[in-house]
Amino acid sequence: MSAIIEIKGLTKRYGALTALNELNLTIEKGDVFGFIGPNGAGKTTTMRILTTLLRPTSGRAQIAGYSVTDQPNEVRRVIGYMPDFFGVYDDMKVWEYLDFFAACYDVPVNQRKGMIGDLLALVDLENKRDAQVESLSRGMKQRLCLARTLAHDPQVLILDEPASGLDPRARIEMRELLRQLQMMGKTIFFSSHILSEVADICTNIGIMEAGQLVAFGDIEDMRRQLQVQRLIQARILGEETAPLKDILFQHPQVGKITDGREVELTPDIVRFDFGGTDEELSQLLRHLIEADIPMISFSEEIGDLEDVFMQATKGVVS
Amino acid sequence: MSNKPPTQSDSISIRQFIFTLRQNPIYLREQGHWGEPNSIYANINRYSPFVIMGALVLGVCGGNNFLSTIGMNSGTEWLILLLCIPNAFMQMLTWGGLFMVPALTAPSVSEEIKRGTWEILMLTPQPVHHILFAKLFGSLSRLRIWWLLIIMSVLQGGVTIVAAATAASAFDAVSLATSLMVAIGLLLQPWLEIGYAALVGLTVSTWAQTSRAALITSYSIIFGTKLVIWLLSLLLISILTVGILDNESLFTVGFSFMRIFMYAGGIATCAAVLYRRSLSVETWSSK
Ligand SMILES: Nc1ncnc2c1ncn2[C@@H]1O[C@H](COP(=O)(O)OP(=O)(O)OP(=O)(O)O)[C@@H](O)[C@H]1O
Ligand SMILES: [Mg+2]
Repeated sequence: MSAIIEIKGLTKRYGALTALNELNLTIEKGDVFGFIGPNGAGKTTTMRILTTLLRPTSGRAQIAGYSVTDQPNEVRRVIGYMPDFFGVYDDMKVWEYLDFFAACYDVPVNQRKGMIGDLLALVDLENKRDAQVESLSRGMKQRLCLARTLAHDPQVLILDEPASGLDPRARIEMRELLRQLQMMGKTIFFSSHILSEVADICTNIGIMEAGQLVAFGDIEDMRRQLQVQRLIQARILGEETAPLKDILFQHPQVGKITDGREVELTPDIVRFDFGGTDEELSQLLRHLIEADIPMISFSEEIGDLEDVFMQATKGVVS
Repeated sequence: MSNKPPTQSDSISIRQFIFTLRQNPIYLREQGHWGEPNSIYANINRYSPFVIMGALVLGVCGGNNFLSTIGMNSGTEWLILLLCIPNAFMQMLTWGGLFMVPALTAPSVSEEIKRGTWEILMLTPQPVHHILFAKLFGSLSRLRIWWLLIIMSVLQGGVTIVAAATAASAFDAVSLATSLMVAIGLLLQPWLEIGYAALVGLTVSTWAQTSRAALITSYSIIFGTKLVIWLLSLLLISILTVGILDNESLFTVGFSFMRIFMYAGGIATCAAVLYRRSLSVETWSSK
């Protein structure tokens, strides 16, 4: 248990607007923290304060024991930052871009070549070594930018929406990359709008809303904190869904039941809200099978986490 | 990938920094060591023959009007001519410099801000004032007028000393002193003017959102200053001809020094603004 990022009572005001209100957050070494929130929630503001680019109005934050306001130079050496509007030099070649920043971080010339090779291998851009940065696709630029944040081997990576603007394939690649970085022992603090992805790779999630952290913990924690109804979809053989609905209707933890036809799905589908745990869900399934309901599938809808999000944020934006 | 950046980079003095400037990555980048950092300059540079021609005309026509107002014996006219030749060259170089220097310094920071790389650069261990110094000198070093300007300055300085020594007996002490002061003024003026243009470009660059805006604003300020000085000189000349001020040499020295102080003041102001801005990372525009 060693906290690497500690935020206490962090507040940032822009005139009358409170972009960040008394934020408290602790992140352990090696965590992958997904920072979620609607537009304008204050994610970028928090990250910019952590990277020493923005001074908080009040409160404090520490990274690896260094205060972001009092020891900015020390903080800068332990973090790698990728801004939301990531910057690349279009006029350079891929290797030149990394070489330049390595030089800025005082990496000696004789070490740079090997390091650039390692970084390009990590982000899978080895074959683009001599390509012009301008010619790269957006996903490639994003990966290049990520490689740049690693040039000085920082402990903490602060990535502002690393997957934004990427197609599904590039997003998966980015996710794999984050996983690899986690295995290398990096602590990753990243923001995102894409919740299903966050769920897969994060050890922790924080949900921001109008400058406040409304939920924090791992995904299971979060469901409990918010008492979210899980949406389950069941499909049976044939269209005789009445016996299934009867059983569901009597179950105490089943909420609203929807017929497939009502939500423009096939008539063999029934959807229902479920408020229980995984064990209770499993028991329900066993009960249905024992009751001779011809089950074909029984699954939780992936929209689930979006609901967590919607419940947490209620669509209110500062 | 394990490297420990030096922890003392902040305490490096400016003198040491300038000494190691040629190894500074930002300085080298500005010179085009990695890619072409300044497409505006690269573009303008293609028209440099026209700039040189324009500067030639402006330099020859615009220079020397004050030298000729110094009261001298007709016997020393050849000396005046000797003084005028390097000065005409200096004027020409100054005009060329005034066009090219803002194209070098004005995009240097604004281009980074536009691309979103400025913040990344500021998070490297390079202190902001080092970045600014490196950008200033790195971009200016691309301009190839410096050696010519140094040679011309030395030449003009030498000619002035020779002229003063030769003419010492022919002049009374006061007019010798005033002529020398005017000569020193002429020697300093190109350097101050170009230095002023460079710093205006860099200062504007830290606020502008695009390189084009930075360049247009810088040109406006630089040539605006020149226009104001020119109008002031017209005003002073008209005062002189009306006869309120009848000491011609006093006027010439006064005007020459006023001009020098204006440019020196401009340079000091820009330097102070840049210094203040380098203290806080937060005040810089982004996006
Ligand atoms: N420089 C600024 N001046 C004034 N208000 C600002 C400034 N920067 C941000 N804000 C405001 O602060 C609030 C938080 O913005 P922030 O960029 O942190 O949100 P975000 O969570 O990153 O949103 P997004 O998902 O759109 O990136 C917003 O209401 C925004 O308008
Ligand atoms: Mg943001």
